[in-house]
Amino acid sequence: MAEVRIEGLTKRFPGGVQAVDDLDLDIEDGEFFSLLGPSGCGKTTLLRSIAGLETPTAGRISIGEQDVTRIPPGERDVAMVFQDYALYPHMEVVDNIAYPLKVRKHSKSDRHRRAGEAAESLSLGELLNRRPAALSGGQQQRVAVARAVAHEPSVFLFDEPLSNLDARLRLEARTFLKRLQGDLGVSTVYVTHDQSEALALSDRMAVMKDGRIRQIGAPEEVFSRPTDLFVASFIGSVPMNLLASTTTADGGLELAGQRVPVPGPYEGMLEPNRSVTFGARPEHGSLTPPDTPGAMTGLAVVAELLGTEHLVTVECGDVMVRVVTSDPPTPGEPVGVRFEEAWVLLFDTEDEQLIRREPAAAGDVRSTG
Amino acid sequence: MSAPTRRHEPVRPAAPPARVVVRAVVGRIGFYAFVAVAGLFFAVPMLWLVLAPFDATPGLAAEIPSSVTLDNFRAVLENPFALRSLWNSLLLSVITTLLIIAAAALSAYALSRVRIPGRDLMLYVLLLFSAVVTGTAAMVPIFRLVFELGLINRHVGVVLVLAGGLLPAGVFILKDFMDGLPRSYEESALVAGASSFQVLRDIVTPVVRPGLAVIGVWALVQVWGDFLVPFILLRDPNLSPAAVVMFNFYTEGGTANIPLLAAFSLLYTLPVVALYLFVNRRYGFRFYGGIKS
Repeated sequence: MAEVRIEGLTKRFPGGVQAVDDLDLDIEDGEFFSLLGPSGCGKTTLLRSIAGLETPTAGRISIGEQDVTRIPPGERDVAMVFQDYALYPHMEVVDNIAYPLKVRKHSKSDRHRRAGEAAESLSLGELLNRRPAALSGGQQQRVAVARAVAHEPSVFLFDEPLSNLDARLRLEARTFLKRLQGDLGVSTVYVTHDQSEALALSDRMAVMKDGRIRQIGAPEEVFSRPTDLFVASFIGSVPMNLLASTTTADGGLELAGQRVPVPGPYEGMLEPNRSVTFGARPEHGSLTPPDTPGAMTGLAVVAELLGTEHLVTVECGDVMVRVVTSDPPTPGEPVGVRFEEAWVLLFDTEDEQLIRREPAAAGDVRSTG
Repeated sequence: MSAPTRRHEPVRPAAPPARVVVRAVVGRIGFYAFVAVAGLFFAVPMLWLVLAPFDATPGLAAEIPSSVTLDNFRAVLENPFALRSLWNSLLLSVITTLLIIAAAALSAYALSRVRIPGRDLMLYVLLLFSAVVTGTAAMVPIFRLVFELGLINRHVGVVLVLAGGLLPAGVFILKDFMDGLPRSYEESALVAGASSFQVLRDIVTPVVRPGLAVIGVWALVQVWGDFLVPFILLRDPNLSPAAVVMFNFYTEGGTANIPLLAAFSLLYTLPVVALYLFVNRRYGFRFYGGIKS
């Protein structure tokens, strides 16, 4: 068990692609840490650099007290679970799980005991003598995890381990991974492009784009207070409403040709005529009768059932606003839309940053509020 | 006339014109006739190979033996060169094959994993020219080369020339198998702490084993059946492989010794057939890479 410290890490591939750009990151001992971002954002390169499968162009990586920047993957005491699981097709499950132990010259009885224990804890006990090809996707995934667990490393590295599972299994595997990590208390770095996975699993998470970290923090915080427009648009199963808006001279906001009050937390912070982006999650909105003061008015166009609630799309002038409600209007009905002021975020349209009372210091991506 | 074909044809909205049907039928008949003749063309020598060795007086025609005998095989056993030549053939083909498998596996792995500009072009060019190396056209320079190296009349000369000629095709086939091996297999072994050698031994080799089997059998058959290279590079009949020795089976009268040839041919063929059956059962032949999952 160990913390992972990354300082000034840069990785430039031959051909000029800069996958990771001067990145600093501390992952604490025992923490479940997710790297989230769209494809090509550098999250996998960062993970592979920690594993030692990529050699950094610049910067340092240390695991525990040891600087591992230049030491080979096998000596870093990490275990990695690959997206395709990388189970060896010619070995039985037990040998797959025990392979890292075999390489490390554990005795055969020790190997089999530990592989058996790991398999048992992941309910794979019945499958020890099967070949990977004879397992279902979910079982293969658990074998890959068992291989990492049996090895008892200081750090787990997961590279999108759930993305090859179907939706239902993914949910199951997610729960079980979180529980497993909690029981073992091993520091974990988890790469995913699925924001719901990162929110569900992480103690802390980092949102990456173009080789840099855009925001880092607890999932609740990243969800409720994204610090820039990219994070705001990336996080959330139902995307956040991001509406172009302008402050007015009388201390209000002009939004889709309508006037709404500036949300409470921002009162007195905004000069008139400033372009801002109004950000509000559909979950924080509610429907009101049309022409309620302080609410936007529009026509309900679509209501989609989410399960217990409905996602209603309201057309206000030429913008679409989404609201989650348990009482959907009939399409075509005029409605008012209002968002809880405490949850509304305003972003500067020009630099795309969240507008705060005290501007964040330049380059301070680690501010955790 | 159209009745027999209608059964095989899917139901169509309108029956095709009679002329089209006639043409299709004639085409089919022509095709089967051609296949039958071609098949016969290959089957008759096979039939000879199976029947002649047991015939007391074999000729060049494939015919049911008038009197069945095993004397022809006794003649083979008594011939001073016959058994020795089979042993030579075995030695040459096994050693060449092992050399090809080892060298092709390593170079195919490297070529599959390392990006070199012009790699694929190089492979195609090598493949093209390799046909020349073991071909007739290059025999004079190859003879000179082997002569200068002092390898004339030694098995090692034959092994090197044949291995060199067959390697590019072997690398070519095997590279496809290597390309089909996901990198994550090796990476996961590396993270587990395996050395490059362990990765090769524990992961890569077992996974591409069907590919190794394919080029192994292919190389073995090529060397086993090769006549020209050992014929030119080996002077001593005691060193000659079966393919060359068979060429020298004459009677005292100076005509081809057909009883001896027939029996020897069968003995010469059986190992290859047995090998094919064995490998096919064990690994299954496939000439492409990829992981079954």
